[in-house]
Amino acid sequence: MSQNQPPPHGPQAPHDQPFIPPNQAPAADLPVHARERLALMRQQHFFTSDLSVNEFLLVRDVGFQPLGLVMGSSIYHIGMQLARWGKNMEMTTLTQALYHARELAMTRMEEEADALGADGIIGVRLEVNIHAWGSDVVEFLAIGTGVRHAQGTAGYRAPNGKPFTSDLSGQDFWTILRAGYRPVGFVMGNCVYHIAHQGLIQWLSTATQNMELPNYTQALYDARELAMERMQAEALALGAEGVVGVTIDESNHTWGSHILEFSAVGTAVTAISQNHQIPTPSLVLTVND
Amino acid sequence: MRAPTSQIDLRSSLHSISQGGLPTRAKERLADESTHKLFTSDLSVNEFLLTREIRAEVISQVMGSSIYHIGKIPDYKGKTGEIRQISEAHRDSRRRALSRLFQEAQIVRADAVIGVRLQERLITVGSHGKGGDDGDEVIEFTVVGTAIRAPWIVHADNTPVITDLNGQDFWALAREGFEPCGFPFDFCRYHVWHVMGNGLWTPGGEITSAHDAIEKARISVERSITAQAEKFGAEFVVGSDIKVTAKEVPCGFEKCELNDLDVDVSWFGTAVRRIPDFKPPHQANVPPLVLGMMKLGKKKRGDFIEGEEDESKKLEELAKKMEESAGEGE
Repeated sequence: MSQNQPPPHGPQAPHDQPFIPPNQAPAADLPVHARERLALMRQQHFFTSDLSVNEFLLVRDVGFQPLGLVMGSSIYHIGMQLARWGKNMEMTTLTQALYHARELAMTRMEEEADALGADGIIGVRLEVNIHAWGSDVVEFLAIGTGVRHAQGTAGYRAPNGKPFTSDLSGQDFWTILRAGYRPVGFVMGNCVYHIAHQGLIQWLSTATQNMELPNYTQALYDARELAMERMQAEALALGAEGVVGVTIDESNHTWGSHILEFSAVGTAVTAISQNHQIPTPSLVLTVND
Repeated sequence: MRAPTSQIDLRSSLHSISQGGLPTRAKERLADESTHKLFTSDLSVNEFLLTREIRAEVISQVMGSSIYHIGKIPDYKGKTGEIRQISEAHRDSRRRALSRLFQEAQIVRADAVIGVRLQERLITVGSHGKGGDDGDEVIEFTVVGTAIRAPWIVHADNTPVITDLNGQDFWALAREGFEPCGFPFDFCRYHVWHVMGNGLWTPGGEITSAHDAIEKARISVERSITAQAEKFGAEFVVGSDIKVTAKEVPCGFEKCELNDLDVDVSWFGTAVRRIPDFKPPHQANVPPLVLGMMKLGKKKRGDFIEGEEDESKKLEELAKKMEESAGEGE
């Protein structure tokens, strides 16, 4: 079997994109030590991974090899944006800044995976760290395990030719491949929203009636919708069929209580075969405690 | 990323919300949803594949939310019983949030919404800052679920069925020939004035007033759930999310130092009935027992870092001790 032939049940590589051997792709953005570490791992066929034993075995079972733990990090100064004190509004500058920071971390992780010659990254965790040494400084960290199909193919890569990313665990990765889908990318959307200050609530404190607060409902609803809409747009751009495992989180970062960030993340998947049947599971009673 | 924020007409969006409807942006997103094949869902991989197994198709993630001000209650002192105004506020915020979820599901023409996650959040406490019998709190109720198309579920035209059952449970029920037919819920806030008596002398034994309160609150909610389930034509109610909390709060009347008790009972359940004309494909039998040696389940973020906190505390203590002993040495 030739090197570039996709596996029997795998997807076809897009014809219009020439296959660039991963080791020739530039990795200019990475620190020197990262490049050294990755080059050495490639040379020695040595791997590291944060997969558990079961995950490791299952990933191998569907024809993939773990190549190495890859990561990307971006330390970002989160500025402030002026908001009208009593107004509900999206803070577009902050939204874009935080999105950009995550994007940078993800891209660096992808570059590391690329340098290892990986077809994709599984078990991606996107973490936010706040360090003691910097106020208003936030570190975005993306960590995952680079994997490559044992038969050597670009067929599993994302449509843009880069390694695919996904937050699926080894078990989920095994299940979804067996069911005729493959992950195409970890997609995200976010929205930073300023929530108006007390004025309205203070006025209401004289009110003895139960009532909904339409302004606030509108504001938080809107923020979540925006985050979801943006995540969906990313998945559509990847040509995915759907997104599984979406979670919507909210966090304050360093801003105090009136500015919230909503972020929606999930893994975009696409079909690689027509048949999505899984063997009918049987019910069991677990006697584990 | 799509070009940031297309502008929406805020006023009409607000108007829609105050009528109990959806904000404009949600309507736009869901209308857009029907123009392409992409689906979004908060189902895990296993849930997603199981829903396909029972001829259900994932359409979209849907949600509903309501931020609600509980009216201020100026003169409730000295009474024991359900505080209807607070109960009704919680009920109404739930009703509104679930109604929005329902409307979103209608837009994408779903047959059901499964895996609904329920979240209640206290945004600001009342002016006395103690909860209890004064009201005046602002709460947010949010529900998020996945809308699915499952033509075999019997329901009135364009009235999707809502359930908080996850994909696995939904699958297991459907396999045995049951379908969800409604989502009954209720809430009760029961207040006990001076729960421990006058505070001078309290005999040992059970605190009957507290026991009574929990019992009464639970019965009131249960009755309501049963009545709703009957209206849905349900055979039974499963997957109940029941929370009973009892919290001591200061009485606060003219600097009174005695404590009152707040009992909250919150109950959600899925009403279930038999699928008409369902013929089971196999003889139902007792599932085999298994002892799992290999964790094949889901590894969700941060699941395997149990007990980390304790470790770090121990380390911290150790570091302190070492510092102290070093200080003594000098």
